[in-house]
Amino acid sequence: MDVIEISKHAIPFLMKGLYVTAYLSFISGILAIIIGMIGGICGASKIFLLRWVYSIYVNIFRGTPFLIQLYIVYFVLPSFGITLNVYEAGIGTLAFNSGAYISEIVRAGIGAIPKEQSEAALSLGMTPYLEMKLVIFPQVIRIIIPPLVGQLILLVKDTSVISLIGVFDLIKVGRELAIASGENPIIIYSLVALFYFIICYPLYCFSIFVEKRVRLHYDSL
Amino acid sequence: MDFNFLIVKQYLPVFRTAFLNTLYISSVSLFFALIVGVIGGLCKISKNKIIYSVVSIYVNAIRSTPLLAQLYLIFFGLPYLGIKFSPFFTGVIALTLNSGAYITEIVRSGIQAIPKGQAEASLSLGMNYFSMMRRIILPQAFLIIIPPLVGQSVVLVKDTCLMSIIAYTELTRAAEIVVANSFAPSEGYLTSAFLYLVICYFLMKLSKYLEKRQN
Repeated sequence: MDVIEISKHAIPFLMKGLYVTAYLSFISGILAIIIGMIGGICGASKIFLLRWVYSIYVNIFRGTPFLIQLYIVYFVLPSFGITLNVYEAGIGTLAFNSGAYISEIVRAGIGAIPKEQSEAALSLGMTPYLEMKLVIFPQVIRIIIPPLVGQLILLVKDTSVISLIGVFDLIKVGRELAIASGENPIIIYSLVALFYFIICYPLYCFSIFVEKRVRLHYDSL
Repeated sequence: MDFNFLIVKQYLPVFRTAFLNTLYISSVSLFFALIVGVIGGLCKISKNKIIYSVVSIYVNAIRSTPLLAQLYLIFFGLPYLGIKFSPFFTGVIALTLNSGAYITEIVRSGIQAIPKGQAEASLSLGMNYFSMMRRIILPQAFLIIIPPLVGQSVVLVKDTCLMSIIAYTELTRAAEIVVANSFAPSEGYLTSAFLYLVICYFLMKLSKYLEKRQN
């Protein structure tokens, strides 16, 4: 069979691409969560300047396509004296891009906690840091996990765009296979899509599972 | 820092065409995606197991794969089968299928947010399924889904940037043309980014305004 022959030939190459995609997703995912947590706290803070910087950051990153951001970082920043290689540019841009969305998730999560919680914590003599750590954040985490997982799925899918500046990830390997070896592009790109599906679909199921658990928890209160 | 406004001015016609093209391909795709989404949403609440599973497979397959992979599959796959479309049409197909899946989920959740009593009341008044949906359920559901729908259209506008790789002259492609001709990356890419920002910022504000008005 044609499909099996081509798959046998293509899968070892695609596995290498899968490794790069997983690497890009993992590193930028962790960085994006860190940026998102810091950003979300800034966005929910009472200090005007922090909120102002936050809203500029979030609006710029959410209002422009990831591809354009990537091109700006990779092609425009060198003329400002900052030269990055493809991996640094890709991971950095993706982290800041997803970080903007995660910031909004975290900010909304903090906003969903009733004000009395924070007042009670402060009246018990907690410092703002302790209040965040012991009272607010444990509750926020529970609310934000489903949208956070949803955002991480988008991040995995967005790593495919990094291939356009020359990183050999899953989709780039597929493209080279289809062009260089002239093999049936439908089979090759279907295999590529299948690989992404294998990563993203379990994450979707996980986010639905967690959402149900969270809802059960709140219904039982 | 070297930003030369003369280059932007020189290529203003390119940017203007690209800006209009971006709006054009976004709105055409949004129109078709809405049709796909409403039909998909209705199928997703259907009691028929086969219809439900077909639409679920469609939605999951689209949501779990990147748009770029879908675009490659359509752009390189269809010609292999002997079907050739213009870049514009290829782009519209890819964006419609992609956004349609997300809008399907939005429509489904909107319909399910309407209390069951509404459907029961209209059925007991002797309406059939079609007129119940058209007159009672969908108009109410539509009000609920407008803010997330505008949010989805922001995503759609940003996704049009991938159409540059199939050589459709939208904002990203315009930036590439400017960079290739004048070797001025900051002028090309920053101008395009600004124009995207104008469209998306307007839509994001609109979505926030509509959400506020509803509450």
